[in-house]
Amino acid sequence: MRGDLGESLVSKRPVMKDFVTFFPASLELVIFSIVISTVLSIIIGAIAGRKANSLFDNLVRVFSYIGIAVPTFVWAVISLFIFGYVWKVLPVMGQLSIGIARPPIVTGMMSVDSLFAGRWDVFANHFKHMVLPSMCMAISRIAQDAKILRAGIVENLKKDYITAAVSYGIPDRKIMLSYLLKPSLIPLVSIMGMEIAGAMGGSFIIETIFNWPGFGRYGMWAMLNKDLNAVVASVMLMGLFFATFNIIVDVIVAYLDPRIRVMERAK
Amino acid sequence: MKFPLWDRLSEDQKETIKKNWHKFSTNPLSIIGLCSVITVIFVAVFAPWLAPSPQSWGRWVDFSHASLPPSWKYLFGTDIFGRDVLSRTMFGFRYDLLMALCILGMVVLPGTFLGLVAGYYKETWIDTVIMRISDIFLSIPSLVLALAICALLEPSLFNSMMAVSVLWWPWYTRLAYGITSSLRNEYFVQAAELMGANPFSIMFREILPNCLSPIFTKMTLDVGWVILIGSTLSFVGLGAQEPLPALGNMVAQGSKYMPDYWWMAIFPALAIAFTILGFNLLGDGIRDMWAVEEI
Repeated sequence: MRGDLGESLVSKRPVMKDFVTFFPASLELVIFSIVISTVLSIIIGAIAGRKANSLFDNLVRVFSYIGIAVPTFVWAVISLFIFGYVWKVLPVMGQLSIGIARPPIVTGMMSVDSLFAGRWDVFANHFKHMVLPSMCMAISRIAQDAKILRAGIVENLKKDYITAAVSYGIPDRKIMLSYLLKPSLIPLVSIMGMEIAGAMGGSFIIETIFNWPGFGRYGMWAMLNKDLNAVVASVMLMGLFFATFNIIVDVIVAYLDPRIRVMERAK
Repeated sequence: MKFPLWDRLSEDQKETIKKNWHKFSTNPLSIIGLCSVITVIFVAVFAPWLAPSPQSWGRWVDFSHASLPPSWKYLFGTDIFGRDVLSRTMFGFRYDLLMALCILGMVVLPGTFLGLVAGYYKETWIDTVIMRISDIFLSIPSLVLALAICALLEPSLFNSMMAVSVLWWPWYTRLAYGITSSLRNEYFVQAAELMGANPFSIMFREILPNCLSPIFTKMTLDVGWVILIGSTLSFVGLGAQEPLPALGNMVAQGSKYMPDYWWMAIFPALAIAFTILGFNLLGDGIRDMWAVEEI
């Protein structure tokens, strides 16, 4: 295990070195997108589940069907159209606007680097550049997660312990937060590992479209140039990434779900 | 009116079909899904007769009518070569459905077979070998693996189908494996074993019929995903090549002229979304109808 993945046939540099250069930018984008999708899907799913069959719930249902059915690249093309030409509030290409100097590289993640350098203007500019690509990656995940969370909450609302809690007169807010949300979140967390890896895969397309200098664009570029070593390395690293995140997620699920913990101990 | 097939069914079978149809049709979303799937299939099959200008599907130019916006004559507008986008979208359904059909055809049989074998020989080396190999395929994000395989082959519609098939079979193996290994110790399987039945006859006669409804449901749900991955591949340029009017291709071509000639990309994109939405709704309806829990 030396981390030697060979030399790229096109850039003539060790693939590992390219990976170290490009990966932080991807990681930053994926983490940002996961944070957006998790927060939004929990809020949307929880409200839709609590107010089942209301107008909001039906709107969420329509949104989740559409969100799952429309491919990521279509969202990307549509948002390029809207924000690139019709309503220019958000930048659509690259990491920074032209004329802004890059902060010195510490971690490779530009948002962290700019904070280290104390450059708030760079941070704000970079943040604006991150919004569109990460939203495009997040939409289908928000749709799916909100649907799962809603189903979980509707299912758990029928359980006896909720009826008991309501009859004790425990306030609605407390029931929602401490009795309802936690068990309903478990299925969501358990697919999170898959989703993070899926987002990494999705970054191959999104980074290419939005010209984001990350590992996805590098991998895509390697694939289109038939750079065999780089392709093998990027597929293998994606697999490694996937496995790592699944293990982390399994540990989190075991922490959240007492049933799994007890069952493991009983064995 | 006489329905020869219907009359041949027994009363019990008729009763089951009626009950299932009732369960399916109570949800309006399933009906919408069924209707849109039928529409897509109908348009795909009869595209050469339905399309307003059938010659648009291939290598054909008409520069006097190039890049026209949507109008009554060209409902979806025309592309930079003067080809009718509506006709090309209609032909595009053909390639996307063909892709889904071929991939599922190539994937379901071997996937299910491996799952049956692994589940039947649970906790032997056969189980370990098959399931660990399928785990290896599942451990890489499907899109990345498909892109990599496609990139290393010559880009074409057929090769992109092969690439998606290579990464899709483990899902069916897992599904069949789960069901088989839970049925493995049921009495009907043990009875067949005691009577000295051949293991393959047990797998196919006794266990397989129990896997059919989950597998069929998963197939319907998967059509959407397969079309999604397939159109992503052709969007990147690793799937069907020009002048074939695959929908992903058309979006990719159209997005180059996006600000001014928006219709070239937006209508094929909507067509992709419509197809996937239809199959997802239909799949959900079928899953609820059979109350399949495994997926």
